[in-house]
Amino acid sequence: MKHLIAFSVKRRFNNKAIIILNILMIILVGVFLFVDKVVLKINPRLFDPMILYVNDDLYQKQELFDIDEEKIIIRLDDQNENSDQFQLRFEDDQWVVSSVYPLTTDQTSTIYQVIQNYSQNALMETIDHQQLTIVNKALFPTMINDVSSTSEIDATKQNLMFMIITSIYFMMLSYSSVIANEVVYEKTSKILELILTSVSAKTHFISKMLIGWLTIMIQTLLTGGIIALWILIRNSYDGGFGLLAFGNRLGIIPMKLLSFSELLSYLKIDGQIISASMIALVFLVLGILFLQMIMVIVSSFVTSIEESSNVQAPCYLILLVIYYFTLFVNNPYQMSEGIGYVLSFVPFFSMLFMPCRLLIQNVSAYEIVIALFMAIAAIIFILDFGLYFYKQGILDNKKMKRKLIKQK
Amino acid sequence: MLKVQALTKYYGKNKGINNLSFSLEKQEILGVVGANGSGKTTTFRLLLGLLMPDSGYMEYEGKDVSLLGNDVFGYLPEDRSVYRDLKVEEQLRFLAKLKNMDPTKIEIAIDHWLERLEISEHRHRLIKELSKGNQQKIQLICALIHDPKIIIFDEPLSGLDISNVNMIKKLINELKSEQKMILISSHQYEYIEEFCEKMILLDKGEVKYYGKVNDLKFKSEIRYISINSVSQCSYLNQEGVLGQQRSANITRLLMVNETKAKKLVRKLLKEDNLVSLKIELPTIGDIINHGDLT
Repeated sequence: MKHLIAFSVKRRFNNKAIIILNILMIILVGVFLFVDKVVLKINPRLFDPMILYVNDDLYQKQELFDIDEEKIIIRLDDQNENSDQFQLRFEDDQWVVSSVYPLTTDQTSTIYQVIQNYSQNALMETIDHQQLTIVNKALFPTMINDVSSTSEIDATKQNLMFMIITSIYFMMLSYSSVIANEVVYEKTSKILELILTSVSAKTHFISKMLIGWLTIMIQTLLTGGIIALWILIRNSYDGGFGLLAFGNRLGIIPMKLLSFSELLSYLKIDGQIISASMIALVFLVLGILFLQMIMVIVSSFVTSIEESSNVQAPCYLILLVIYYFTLFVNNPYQMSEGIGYVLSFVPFFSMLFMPCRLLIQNVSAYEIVIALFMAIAAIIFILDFGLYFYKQGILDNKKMKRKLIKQK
Repeated sequence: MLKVQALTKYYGKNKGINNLSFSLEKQEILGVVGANGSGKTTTFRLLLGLLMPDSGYMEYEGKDVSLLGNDVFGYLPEDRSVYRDLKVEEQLRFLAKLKNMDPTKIEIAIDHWLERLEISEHRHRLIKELSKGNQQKIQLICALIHDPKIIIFDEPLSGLDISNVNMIKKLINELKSEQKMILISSHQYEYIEEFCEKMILLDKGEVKYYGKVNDLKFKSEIRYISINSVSQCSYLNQEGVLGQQRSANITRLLMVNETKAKKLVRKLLKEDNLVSLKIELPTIGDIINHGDLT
């Protein structure tokens, strides 16, 4: 079996396409982690603050604009005619912005914020604090959500779920067909019959599962390694400050962070989250293994390359349905006691639902153990039962009786 | 000795092979002959352990075949079974490793076989770049690299040009002299006659004949008359003539039995323009095609 695995893994990773893909990934991750440098090299003035020229009256009260000077600077109108110049004035109870070109959405939003600040601050100067409180209460009534459920659901983490579910879905899609296609190739090229004179069909079947699993591990480690390497490089360069500032300027990161370690604190990535992620990863790997087995068994009946897509397409369709279903039921109620809770124990579905639960709420150890046990039991069952169909498929013995496959 | 006794295999209600028995000694070549679906592939798959029989047993040197190591059999499948995108040496190394060969022995064996089949210069080339004949040689090496005791050749000569056919024929004879037991299936009956001492004729899973090739020919009533004559006349209306073939001055008449053949020969001897005349045994192909299996 080790020769089959070594051969297949070598074949999978030591080929031009994969090498080019990984080089491309190294470049892309590098570009992403130094995107601030790349973008500013192309457009050095991208983050220059907007200069807003105002008349003398407004300039005298410029503290009322309450501006972020990294984004905008107020200057006295000096009548210079620059193409990127913006003039702001207040006349006839209206704010007028003069510019050479029409304002972009971002420029409109920034200038509007400045005007809003000015108007509110000017108003606050004219009324006392008590009156302001009354107005605020009337305009912005307070609402408190009195939650009776004992489950501790961190609402901020729930936003990560969409990303996680989508990532898992695409991982399933990309990895599940990896080994199935290999079986199709070996069968259609007739090499399989030759291999089976040296190893049993069971060994071949199990080796395919292990190859698939190893492929996922190696590619994940490779990708993780590339990302980690670039993060280390960026960290030693400026601790990630430039990148985080860039993200903040673009509005991707809502607050100013000075380093990657501050980012980790901000994302609340602690030991609990990391251990939950590790357990989620186990469920993901088991789920992919389960799916791979189904795909390999189905693909063993394929007799031509053209036929393989016809056979695999329904599997992808089912995956798509499960993906949308997961998104649909991804809410605290469903994950705590609804269908999401039940499906987190069901093999294959647990691959998506248990990671979701683990990352948004506390899941007890016994629940994890039960779900793991069921996932592993399902894999063993498919391994044993699927072998019968696999042997039928790879040797084209469609009418072979089950008793005939209990080989040496 | 390889001994197969009452081997039977059904696919559901369909007969794969029924009650097959034969034995094979070292330095013997057994021809397995039959039309498509006759049970040749099932027989080979049973021997190779790809299928389990419903009944019967197979033993080699007194041991159950299913308990033997994976290096006893060498198999050349009918179809091209190669990774086309691999280099020659990579394909050979992979399949040799699956036979649990020692890495040092693998390299020696690769050198030996590439040289023996005169394709050493292709060692580092991709298989897809090789001609059909050379790809077949690579397949042959895959079957032989681990020095198997029993070799199964499924249509080893199909699709090859004459020079490669001659080389492989020579190789098969060499393997025979190296104490190997060889099973060959072929649609080209002349090769079976050329190589095999014994043969099995299969038809829809049933054994129609098992025995020596010459016995089958002698037992058959069919005879040939070869006539070397300048005359181009047809003999089809003569008594006992089943068919006629002409090539240059030679006319071959397929006769229903030896008595009729002798009778016709006596008649033909009286003709002018006759250069030579002889009665011959039929080929296996003739016997099979005319269903003359006594």
